[in-house]
Amino acid sequence: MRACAKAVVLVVLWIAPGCSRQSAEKAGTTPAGGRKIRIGFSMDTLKEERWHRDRDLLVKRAGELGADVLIQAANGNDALQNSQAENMLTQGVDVLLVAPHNGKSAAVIVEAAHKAGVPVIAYDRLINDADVDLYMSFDNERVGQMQAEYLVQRRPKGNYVVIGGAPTDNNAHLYHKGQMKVLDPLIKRGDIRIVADQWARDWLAVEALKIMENALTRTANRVDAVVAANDGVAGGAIQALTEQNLAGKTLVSGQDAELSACQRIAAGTQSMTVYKPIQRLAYKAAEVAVKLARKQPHGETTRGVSNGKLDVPSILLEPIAVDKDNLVSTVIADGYQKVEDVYRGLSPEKWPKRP
Amino acid sequence: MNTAPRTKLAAWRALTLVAALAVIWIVFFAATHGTFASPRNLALLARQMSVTSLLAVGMVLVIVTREIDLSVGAMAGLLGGVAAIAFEKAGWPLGLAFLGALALGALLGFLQGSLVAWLRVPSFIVTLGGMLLFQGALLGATGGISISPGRPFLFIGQAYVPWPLGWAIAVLFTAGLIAAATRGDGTTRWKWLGLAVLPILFTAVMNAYQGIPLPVLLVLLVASALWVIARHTPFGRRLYAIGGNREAALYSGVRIERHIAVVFSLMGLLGGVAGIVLTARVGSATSDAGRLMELDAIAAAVIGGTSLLGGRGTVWGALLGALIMASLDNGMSLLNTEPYWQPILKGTILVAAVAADMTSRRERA
Repeated sequence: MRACAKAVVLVVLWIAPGCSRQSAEKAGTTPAGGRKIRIGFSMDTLKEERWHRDRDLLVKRAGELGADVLIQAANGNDALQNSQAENMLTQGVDVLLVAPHNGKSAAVIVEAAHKAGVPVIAYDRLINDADVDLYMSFDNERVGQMQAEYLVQRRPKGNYVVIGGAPTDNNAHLYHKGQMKVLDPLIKRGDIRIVADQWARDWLAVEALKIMENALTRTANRVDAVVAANDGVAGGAIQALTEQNLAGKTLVSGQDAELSACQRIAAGTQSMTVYKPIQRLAYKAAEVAVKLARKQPHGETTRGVSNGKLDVPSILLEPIAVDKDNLVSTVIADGYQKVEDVYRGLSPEKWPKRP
Repeated sequence: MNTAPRTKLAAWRALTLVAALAVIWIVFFAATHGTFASPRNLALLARQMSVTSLLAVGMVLVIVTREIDLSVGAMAGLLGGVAAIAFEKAGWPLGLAFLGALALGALLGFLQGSLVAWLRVPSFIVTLGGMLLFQGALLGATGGISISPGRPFLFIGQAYVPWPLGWAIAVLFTAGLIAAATRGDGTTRWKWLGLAVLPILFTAVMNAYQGIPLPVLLVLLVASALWVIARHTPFGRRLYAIGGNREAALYSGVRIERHIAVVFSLMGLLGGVAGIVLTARVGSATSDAGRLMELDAIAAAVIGGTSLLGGRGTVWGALLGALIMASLDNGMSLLNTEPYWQPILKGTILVAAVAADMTSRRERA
């Protein structure tokens, strides 16, 4: 039902971008021109849980600030994303947020936007070789570092399996780079042996499952830790570990704090996940976008991230490593997951005490 | 038409396939210092090919009638998701959730088949549309969230058949093959006797690990059933007739439309089975599950000797094709090769298989 309502809202937003909504009326913040600010959000995909959150949170915060958000998702199709972005420019957006599917081909979007005098914010993923006005994301290399650090602190020696994400995703390479930054010195010292280092095509859990099954076969089950790049591939790897009665014994990392991953952390089969408080990113993006649309300075501290053409001023948020001990104080306290969902499968004495 | 060169051709093809498989296995056996052929890896290999196999055996029948079904991957993803949602979210009993998914699969298959059969919309288009539709429906149904069904659901993808039961099944299969041998004569007798060794060998290897994986048993049962339908029922023989020469089939009184609708319904049903196994194997239903699996299924069928021109192809050949592709995936993963090699090699083998098929047709048929 909620999905239905969302769909209706979206359709309304598409068809009648000029319609004012009640919350915005109450906030009563209209820009200098008298017209409501219109933010365009060009998304790569809505196929993952997290992007639904990005969208909902962004729309909510923008609404509070008195802005409308036009949203289009390209289902992982570069060409479609470019034309969708163009369409939003035609509709007269004041600022364009882009979560590119392909950082290189999205450079065209930046050009088109600048021709129309519209600033572009790269959201979550960087756009390469273009004059991007601002980049907002989590520190992705740091995500990989956190995953590896967590495992290394608990298993300083042993056999490691590294399961990366889609080799076509730039972020997947950043995670891998961060992981290797931590692992490399230990590999050189001979403490850690990498028994498999493979990429899961399209981030598919079933690919990770196969990779893990085969790694376990080759090492006769002697795997101490699995550096899994996100919760999806972690789930696949844990399925293979369960099969060998190793789930809970072999450490597994993750990322995104997906519901099923939080459930596994509560049950003890997944060791950790890296939680990126998307609410902070989405809210901040909405606030900054509104300021840019009003031609005001955003007032945030930035640092430069090279995209091949220039050092893009970037707002990089720090992710949080989450395990059994701080699951309640982070993911659940933020309302990102509900306690009754996370602990649903467990007996009542294992539930955390309610505050 | 004289059947002698045809059977000879089929035997020659089967032999080249087995030889290709043997070469692949020997190479991986040597490169992995024997790990590849360990009972454990062979059991996992058999399980890794189970979802593709379930789709491929159904695809054979579709292609035999000279149609195609591009929607099977998305359909499996959708139905696996539907079963997971029905069980986990709606709280249906497991059996009902499975039956619901299977029934929905058969219904969707029937709808696609009806469009192909009666409205004469090309199956390529109908199922291409179906693919997009099912992908969208899956995304809508899951909302992008992975759904992890509980333990009983996962049983179907992860359990092993207890070894005594495994042996019982093997003996049954072997007895059947020996019975066939006693009825045959000359070289066919030897062929059946040779095949009779396979179930024993297979079960011995599987039991040396943890037993026959349940999804693999499912594949074997489904394949056997389809083989019986294809070879030993009038319905099956008419499918070959439709694909081989549609006009001749029409004039000899075959109701082509009905047969095509049934074949697509069957394919939908198998999509349901494959989807349930997929969800159970991965442990969760994800919003892009099953993506590109239709291509694996078609490739397996074609490598296994199914002709895209219709009228030719066997269920067991498709399993052999699926085994060849799964072996490549598995062996290269064991060797830690870069990910780009797998599609390159699979693509090469696919084209080579069809090329070999075409040349052999010209030379021998």
